[in-house]
Amino acid sequence: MSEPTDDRIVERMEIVIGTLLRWGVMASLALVIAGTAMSFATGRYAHATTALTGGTAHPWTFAAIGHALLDWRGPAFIIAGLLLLISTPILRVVVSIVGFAIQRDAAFVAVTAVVLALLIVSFLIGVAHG
Amino acid sequence: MSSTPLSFTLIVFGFSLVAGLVGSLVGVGGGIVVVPALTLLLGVDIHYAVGASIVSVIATSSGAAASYVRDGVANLRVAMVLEIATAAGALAGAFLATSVPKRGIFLLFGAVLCYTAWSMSRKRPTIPPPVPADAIADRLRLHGAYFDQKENRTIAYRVARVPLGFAVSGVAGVMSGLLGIGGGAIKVPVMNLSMGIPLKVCTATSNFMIGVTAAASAVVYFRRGDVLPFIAAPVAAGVVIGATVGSKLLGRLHTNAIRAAFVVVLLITATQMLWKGVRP
Repeated sequence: MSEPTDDRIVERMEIVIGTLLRWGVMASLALVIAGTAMSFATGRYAHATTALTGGTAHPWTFAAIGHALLDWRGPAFIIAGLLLLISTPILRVVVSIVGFAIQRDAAFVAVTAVVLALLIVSFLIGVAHG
Repeated sequence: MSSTPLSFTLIVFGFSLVAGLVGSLVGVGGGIVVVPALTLLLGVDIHYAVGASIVSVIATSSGAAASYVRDGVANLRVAMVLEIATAAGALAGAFLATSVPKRGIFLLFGAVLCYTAWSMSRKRPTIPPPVPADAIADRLRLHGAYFDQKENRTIAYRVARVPLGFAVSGVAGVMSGLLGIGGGAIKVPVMNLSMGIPLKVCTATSNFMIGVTAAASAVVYFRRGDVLPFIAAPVAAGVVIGATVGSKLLGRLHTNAIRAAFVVVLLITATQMLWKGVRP
C-alpha cells in the first residue's frame, strides 16, 4: 500500500503534468495559428487541402511533415500542432501509470495500461486502414 | 475543395469561439455546438466536422487538465476504470463512422441533442441519491472525497454500480467516436444519478476523460484524412480560446438564463439535425 510520501510525490506529479499539458496545448495552438497565418500569408495552402481530402493513402507521413516543415510550408505547421495536441492525452495516461506504480497499486497500473494499449491500438490500426 | 479562403477559416474560428464560450458557460463540450454549426450553417461534410471537433475536444480537455486534478475534484480511479470502456467505444465508433451512412450520423446526433436538452432541463442534485454497497467499488477503492469550494467543506462519497457505468461509458465512447462529441453529456447523468458521484466530481472527471476518449479516435480520423488543417485548426483554436474566456465569465453571468436559452437552441438544432437525417 502507498505511503503518505508516495501520495505527495504523486500529487506533485499531477500538478506538474497538468501544467505540462496546458503548455502542450498552448504550444500546439501556437503552431496551428502560426501555420494558418503562414499559409494565408504565402498562399501555399492549396497543396495541403487536396492532399488531405483522402485521395492519397497516408498523405502525411512523419518524413513528409518533416520535409514540409523545413520548407516552411504553413500546413505542415498546422499538422504538427494537431499531432502534438493529439499526443497530450497519451502523455497524461503514461504519467498516470507511473503515478499508480509509485503508489504500488498493481490493479490500477493494469487498468491504466489497458487504456494506453487501446490508444496505441488506435494509432496502429489507424495506419492499416489508411 | 481546391483551396480554403481566409474568410471561411475566420468564420469557422468565430463560430468555434462562440461554441467554446457557450459550452463552458453551460457545461457541455464544444462538439455539441461545433458539429451542427459546421454542418448546418457552413455546409461542411459531416466527416470533416467530426474530425475537427474531435481535435477540439482534446484541446479543451488537456488545456484544463491542470485544474481538474490539482483541485482534487476529479476521481482519477473512476476515470481510468471507465476509460477502458470509453476508449474502446471511441475506437469502435471511429471505424463505424465509415460504415454508418451520413444520414444515420445526423439522426444519431439529433437524438443525442434531444437527450442532452432533456438532461439539462432536469434538476441535478449536488448530493447524489444514496447508493447501495458495492463490492467492485470497494475492491478497486473507487470511493472518494473532495473539497467543495462553495460549501467550504470536504464531501465524501461512495461509488456504486460500476458495471452500469462501464456499459454507459462504452456507449458514450461510441458516440464520441461517431459524432465528435466529448461524451460527457451521456456519462455525467449516469455517474451522478446512479453511481453516487457528486455532480462537481462527475463534471471534473468527465472533462478529464473526454480528452483520452477523443485521442482514441483522433488518429483514425487523422489517417483517414478527415482532419482538414483549415477546419481543425480554427475549430481547435476557437473552442479553446472561447472556453477559456467562458470559464473566466462563469461567476459573473446568470447561468440559469443561459442554460434555459441553450436548451431551446439545442431543441431547434436537434430538429434540424434529425431533419437532415430524414431528408439529406
